[in-house]
Amino acid sequence: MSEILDKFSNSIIKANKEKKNIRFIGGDSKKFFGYDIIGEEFKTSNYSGVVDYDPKELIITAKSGTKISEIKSLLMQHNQFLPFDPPIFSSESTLGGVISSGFSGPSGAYYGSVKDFVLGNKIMNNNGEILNFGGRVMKNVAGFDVSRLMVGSFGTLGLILETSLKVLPKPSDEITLTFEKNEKDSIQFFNKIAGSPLPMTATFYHDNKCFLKFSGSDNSIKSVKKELGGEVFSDNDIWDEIRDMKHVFFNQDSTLWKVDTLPYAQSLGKSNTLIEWNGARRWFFSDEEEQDVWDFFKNANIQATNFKPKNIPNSSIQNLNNISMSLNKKIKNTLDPSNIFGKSRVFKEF
Amino acid sequence: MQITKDIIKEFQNFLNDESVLITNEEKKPFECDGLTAYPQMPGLVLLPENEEETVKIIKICEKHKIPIVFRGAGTGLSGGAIPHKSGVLLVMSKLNKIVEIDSNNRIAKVQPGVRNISISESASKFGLYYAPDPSSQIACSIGGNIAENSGGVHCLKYGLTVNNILSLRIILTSGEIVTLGNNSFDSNGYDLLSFFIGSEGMLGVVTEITVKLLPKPEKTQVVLAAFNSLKDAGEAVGNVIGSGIVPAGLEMMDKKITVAVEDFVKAGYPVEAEAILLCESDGTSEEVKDEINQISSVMKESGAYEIRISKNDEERNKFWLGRKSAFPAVGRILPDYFCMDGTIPKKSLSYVLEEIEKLSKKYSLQCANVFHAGDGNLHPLIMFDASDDAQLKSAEKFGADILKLCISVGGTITGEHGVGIEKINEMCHQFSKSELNTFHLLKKVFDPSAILNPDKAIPTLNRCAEFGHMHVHKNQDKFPNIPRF
Repeated sequence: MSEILDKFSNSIIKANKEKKNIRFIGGDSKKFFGYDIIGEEFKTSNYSGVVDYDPKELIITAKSGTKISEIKSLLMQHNQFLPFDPPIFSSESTLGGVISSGFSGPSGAYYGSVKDFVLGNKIMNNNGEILNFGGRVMKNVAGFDVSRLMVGSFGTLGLILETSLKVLPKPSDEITLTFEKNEKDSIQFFNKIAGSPLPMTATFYHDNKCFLKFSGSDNSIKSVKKELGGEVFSDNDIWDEIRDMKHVFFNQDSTLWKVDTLPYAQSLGKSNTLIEWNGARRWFFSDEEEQDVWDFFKNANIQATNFKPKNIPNSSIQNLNNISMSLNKKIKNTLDPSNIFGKSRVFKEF
Repeated sequence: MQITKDIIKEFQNFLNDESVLITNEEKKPFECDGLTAYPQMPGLVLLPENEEETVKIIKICEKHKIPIVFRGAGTGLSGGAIPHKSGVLLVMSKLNKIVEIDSNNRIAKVQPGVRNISISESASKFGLYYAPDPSSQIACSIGGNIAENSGGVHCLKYGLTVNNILSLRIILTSGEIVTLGNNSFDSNGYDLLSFFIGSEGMLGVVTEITVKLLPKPEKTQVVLAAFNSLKDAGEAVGNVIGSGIVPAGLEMMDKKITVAVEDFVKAGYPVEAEAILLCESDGTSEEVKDEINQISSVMKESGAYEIRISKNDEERNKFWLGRKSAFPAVGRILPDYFCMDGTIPKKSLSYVLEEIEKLSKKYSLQCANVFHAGDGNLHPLIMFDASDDAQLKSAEKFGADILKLCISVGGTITGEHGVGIEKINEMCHQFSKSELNTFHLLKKVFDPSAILNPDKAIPTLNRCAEFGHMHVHKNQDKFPNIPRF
């Protein structure tokens, strides 16, 4: 083991002995998400660097402390990109943070989300041992998929040391079209196009306007405009603004909720809303009492996240049914029996 | 525990007579799956007709600690559904309804016994289809696809089963029913949906599956490129992808395969070629036109001496017919073959193919290569005659050496067929003791009594020790008290 990995391992063993919590930090750009973890800060930023990248393999492997911006610019040099388009909340954002949060950008509904592109993870477990799951190949079904289990686990199951990701060639052209439509018509429109062969790669609706992004070869993009009409929206940065929550919608002084649902589902009846992923991801701000909002979701059987609470929340920031909660708890207790890795970040129960 | 007459009665209390198979004559068709070399008569075969009956069966098995092996269509190639001699073989084929096709949301809700291809057939009227297409798609069930995380020829572009499933309704050994996933792209809590897919019947049984449906591409065309050397063909694979194209399918066949296939189905392949590549493009008409031009020129630059482009669907199907007939064509040369499933980085293709050729000479067994070149997923077919014990043993050793070779270049022992019993020893090469322990501990979360598919997929540490390839760190066992299965 290298010196730095030895250091990681010793810290974990020590925390285990002393029953102390550890708080893994990459770029610390998602601190707003969930409860603050109290514990010794454990920075991964100095465990960084691309380990392996061959554009012909469509696979990149990098250490968890590698800045995501560094990975993106390396891929860009070879005309490739991260299709799940992770949000970059700060220039310090790291690969480890991207994997452990599992957040995907506007194109996640078309190319796939983070988990769809994770091929392998090297992790350090609760005993300070290095374990490898998945690999640096496109297909691998040997053993349980522990690698994907780490995606979105917020560091609560172990320390992610290294990740192998599938990447894709960048489409040669793209276009954003915009249409004046209300929420209902926009969702209907998105899903109609999503069911057609047109190369749609992102959508969002806000304030009676919908935006659709198409990516593909030069000729196919030309034909999209011809077929659909609409107004060409020349500022392609709008997708980065949505992804990184810099769009004016996200600049509000109340609690931000996220709903994950079937795309062609009914309106939530919220006026202050932004909708992505053809309707499958819906954001809204609300000043309602937290419990009232949770009751609404419970009655409607909707999965939601208290994404950016205005005040410290009273309950878990995500909802889960009882049996799922029990399975989740058991997974946590199995991989982190001494509970040193980020207790209660998302769920109060574990 | 053995299955006693009293226990059989417990099952008969709620199952039809035809759903409980007791005699050897009745059970005989179920003694193996697609891996035919290791048949095993099951203790009892049960065929529930719905979720309610399945829950009852699982509760009885849990109460008496009776092993359960789940089976779909029985087409698996790694022996994952080979029965347990004193256990229940739970055959899910009667749960075979397409519950709903929701064209607005582009999803289908189906029961596990539904055949893979029938999902696409039913979705076709909406212009939609289910993308993963393992070669056995006309027979294999979607439940089996979940268990194995099946692939197919289109995975490079469209992903494996795990990338095309939105939620699963499963029964735990407690009899509780839980839904994994949320029918959206993000799901709260740990990603148990992905964790469950590919778990080879070790964690629970699926009773309903929600799959993603994709719009059918407007156009599909395929390029057939012939090469004078395997090396050039191997490099062409990387060059196509390096040029910025993700083909819908990119398959390679060596000369042994093309000759066998030509003899069998007359696909019109250039049999003098050392290797041929089939490269498919799909999408809008404009996209396909651009891609086919680019693929053809990259193939030429990479040394292809002949390029054919399918002019219509009939010709495209003819090109694919040969690829799809490769396995049965090889089966005509010798009575038996092992189909290996190692996956490697594409840059190691030429090296690995040369090494396989050397092993073929060493073991005096023929080996033909047909594979998903775009994914680096090899399917060497080792030909032998199982009635000759010496040949069977040599073929097993040959296969094991190929898998070790795959691991040595940074690959894996299985890309899409699963471990089952076939590759269980090789798991000891690929994973360390702590990694295997992690698998065992996680299985316990779902199956504390260890009744689900015992002795498959994840080797016990004892088995690895006996096999002689356990990767032991500092000679210490950190989890001496966990049960081994």
